[in-house]
Amino acid sequence: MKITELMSQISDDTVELSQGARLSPRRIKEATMKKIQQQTGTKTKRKMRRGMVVALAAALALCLGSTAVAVANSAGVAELLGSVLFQRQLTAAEIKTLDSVGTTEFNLESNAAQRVETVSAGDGTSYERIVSNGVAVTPEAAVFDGHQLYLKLRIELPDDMVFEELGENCYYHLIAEEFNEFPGYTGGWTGGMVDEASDGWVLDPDDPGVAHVVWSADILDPDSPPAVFHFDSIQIQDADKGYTTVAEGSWDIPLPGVNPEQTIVVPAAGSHIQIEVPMAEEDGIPTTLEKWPGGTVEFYFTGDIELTPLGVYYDYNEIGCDTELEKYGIGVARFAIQVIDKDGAVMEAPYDLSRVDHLVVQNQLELPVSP
Amino acid sequence: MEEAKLLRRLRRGDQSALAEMIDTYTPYVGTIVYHVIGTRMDAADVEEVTADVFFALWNQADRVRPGHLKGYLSRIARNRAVNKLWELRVDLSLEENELGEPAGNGTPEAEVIGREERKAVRRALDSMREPEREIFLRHYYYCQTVRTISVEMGLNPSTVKSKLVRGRKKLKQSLMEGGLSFENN
Repeated sequence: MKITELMSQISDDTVELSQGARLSPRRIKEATMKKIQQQTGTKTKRKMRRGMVVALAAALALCLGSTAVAVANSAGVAELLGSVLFQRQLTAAEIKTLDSVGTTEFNLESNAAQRVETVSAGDGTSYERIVSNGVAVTPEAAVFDGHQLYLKLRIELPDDMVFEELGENCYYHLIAEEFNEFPGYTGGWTGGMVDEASDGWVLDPDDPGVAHVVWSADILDPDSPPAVFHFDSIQIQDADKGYTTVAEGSWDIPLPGVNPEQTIVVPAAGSHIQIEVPMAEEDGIPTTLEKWPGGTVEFYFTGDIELTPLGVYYDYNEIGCDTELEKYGIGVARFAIQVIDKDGAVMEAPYDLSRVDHLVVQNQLELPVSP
Repeated sequence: MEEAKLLRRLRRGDQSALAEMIDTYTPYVGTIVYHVIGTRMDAADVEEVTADVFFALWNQADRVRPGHLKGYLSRIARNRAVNKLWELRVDLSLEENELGEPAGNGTPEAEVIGREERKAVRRALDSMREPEREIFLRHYYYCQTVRTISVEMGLNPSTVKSKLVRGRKKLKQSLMEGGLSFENN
C-alpha cells in the first residue's frame, strides 16, 4: 500500500502553494472544448443547411397575423433536447416521456415587427421560422415541467454577417429583456414570474452565420407561465466591456408546451413511481446521491444541520431539496421522501446522518392527456 | 451562491459556464498540477493535465456539491497529475512511500477497507501539528520532493525528513486503529 494512493482518496485546499507556471485560460479552454467535441463527435447531429429553399407560405411575407400553419418537425423533442438535458443516451421510456411532455410545434404569428416563413428542409419536411431585421430564429423544441423551461433555437444571421469566435470572458446571449429584469437568482421561490434566464450557445461548425442555442429560464409561477417569450436582441457579453448588441429584432415565440395542463402535474391521479436512491458516503456520512436512472440527482446532506427534506423538486434532470440552511432549486413539495436507515427502518427528522442508508423518493407523475 | 449557479448551468450542458470556471480556476488547478509534475515534465504536460481536470468537471458536474468545488478540483488535479507521472513511469522520489500490504485487501470487504482507509488518513492528518501536517501533505499529496519542501518552507531538509517519519508513524497507527493490519507487522 502506497501512501500516495491513500492520499488520492482525500482532497486538500489548505496548503498555499507558490504560483507555478502561468497558464493561459484561453489555451486550457481550447484544449478542454476539443476534448468535449471529440467525446460528442460521434453523436448524430440534426443539420440544417443555410441557404435552403425558402418556400413562403401563402402571402406570409406580406401578411400580418397568424399563419396558422401546422408544421411538423421531423425530429422529436427527445432527439432535439434529450442530449442537452441528460448528457447521455436516453432510455426508451425517457424518450417517450420527453416527447409526450415537450413540443416541437409552435404556433408562430407574423406581426408588424416580424414575419413567419415556412422553410422546406429538402427531405420532405418543413419548419417555421421567425425573421426580423434579417435574423431568422427557428424554435425547434421546448420542454417545460412547471419549473424549468428549455427552449432549443436555431439562429441564422443575414448573409453578410457571421458569428465571430469570441475571446476570453465573452459570451453570446439571446436577450428576452423582461425575463432578465428580476434581481439575482436566490435559489428559492421568490414569487416573480421568471427568475433567471440563461442560454447555452454552440456555433455551427459548418456555417459561421448559424448558432444553436438552448435557452432556459426558471419559471417561478407554474400556474401562470408566460404564454409568449419575446426576444429582442442578440448581444455579446464581455467581462471587461459589458454588453454589445449584435442584432436587434422581434422574435415572439408562443409556447403551447408551457400550458400547465400539458406538463407534468403533481400530485397525480395517475401513475405512481417509487425510486430507491443509493447514497454516496464520505467518512461514513451520506453526502451526495448516486446517479439516479432518471437523470442527474442533486440532493445534499449538510452534516451539521437538522435536515428536513420536504421541499424537494424535480425538473427532468435534477432533484433538489430545500433544507433549513440552504435552498437548491425551486422548493415545491412535489416529492415525498423517506429516509431509510441501515436497518431498513424509516427515519424521522432530525436525522442521525451516520445512520442514513438511502432515500426512497416517491414521485407521483401524471403525464398530459393530450400532449 | 455564484458557485451553485455555475454548477447548475454546467449540469445543463452550458459550455459558457465551463468557460467561466476555466477563467476562474485555471490558476488554482494549474498551480496544483505544476507542483505535482514540477520539473519532472514540461509545460505542455501541465496544460494537458489541467485541461483534463476541467474535462472531468464537465463530465462529473453532477457529483460536485456547491461549496466543494475547490476541494473537488484539488483532488482531481492532484490525482490526474500523479496518474500522468505513473503512466510515464516517472520516479516520484518520495520518502518511504510504501507502507506494506494490508491484510484482507481484495476480499469482499475491500470497499469497507477503502472507507476505513479514508477515515484513517483524515484522522492521521488531524492528529498532526503544523508544520508536520503541511509537510506531509506537500510530500505525499502534492508529491513535492524533500528538497523542494525545504526550499519553499524555509526548513532544513533533515527537519523535513524527521517530520515525515513522524507523520508516517501516525498514519500507520491511525490505519491500525481503524482495524487494518499489515502483513509485515
